[in-house]
Amino acid sequence: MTTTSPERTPVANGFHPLTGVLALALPGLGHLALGQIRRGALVAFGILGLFFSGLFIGGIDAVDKEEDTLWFFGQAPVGVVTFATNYIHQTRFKGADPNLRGAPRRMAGPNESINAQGVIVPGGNPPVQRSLSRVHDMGILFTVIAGLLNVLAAIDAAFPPLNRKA
Amino acid sequence: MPGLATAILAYTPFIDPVSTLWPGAYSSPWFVNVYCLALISLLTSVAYKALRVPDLSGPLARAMSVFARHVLIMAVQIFFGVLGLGLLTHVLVFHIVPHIAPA
Repeated sequence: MTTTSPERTPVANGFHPLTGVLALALPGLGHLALGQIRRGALVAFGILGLFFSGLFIGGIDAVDKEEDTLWFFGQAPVGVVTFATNYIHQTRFKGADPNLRGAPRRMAGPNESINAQGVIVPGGNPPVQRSLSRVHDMGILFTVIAGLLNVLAAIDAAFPPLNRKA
Repeated sequence: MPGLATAILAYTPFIDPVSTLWPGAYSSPWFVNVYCLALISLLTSVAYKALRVPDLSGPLARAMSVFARHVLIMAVQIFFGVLGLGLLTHVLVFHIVPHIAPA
């Protein structure tokens, strides 16, 4: 007698736009929606591992839509995580410069801090240390590779191969 | 080691770059050539092989064992491939080009 496990059922091929969009929203979510639990978990581990390793190495400064716009295009496919990181970076770790009206918000430099109104004031310590040189490069590289790999994952989730198991 | 312990306790991940914990990371060749390369090779392999390994079904231990072997092979290929490219670039820039066009 043979038994058929649900995991061994080949995945139907075709075009699945919803799973592609889900994969772009959060790494691994598209494969989870296809019922490929293990594959989705491994994709999420790899891509989010790369993204958060980049943040560990380069700090939150590795994701900056205003100052590293071109790199942000590469990071954006990681989805909600990238946009949330950028939002926190822009709103919590940058302040308005009172000497430059209308200028974009910037990070506080050495011997500056950001007050409760989000204005950069002299004295104190900045809330975040800007990453420089190789550390910054590595942070950006990790996060951009995570984004580009998630594009592959989204294409794979939208066009799942026929002969795949679990 | 009280200085290191203090630095580790004061470290806030995602906010302080790793250079806070390891000030020499900027200039240390080990930082890029070994730590970052090993980490990026491994995690890239995990994400890529998660899409490429055709069969992840069956008992979890067996499936993960097969997956880990695929990941390890790809990670080693990336690691030594990039190190090899770096070595070739070093030879080209510091040995071949000065020979062709002396300063």
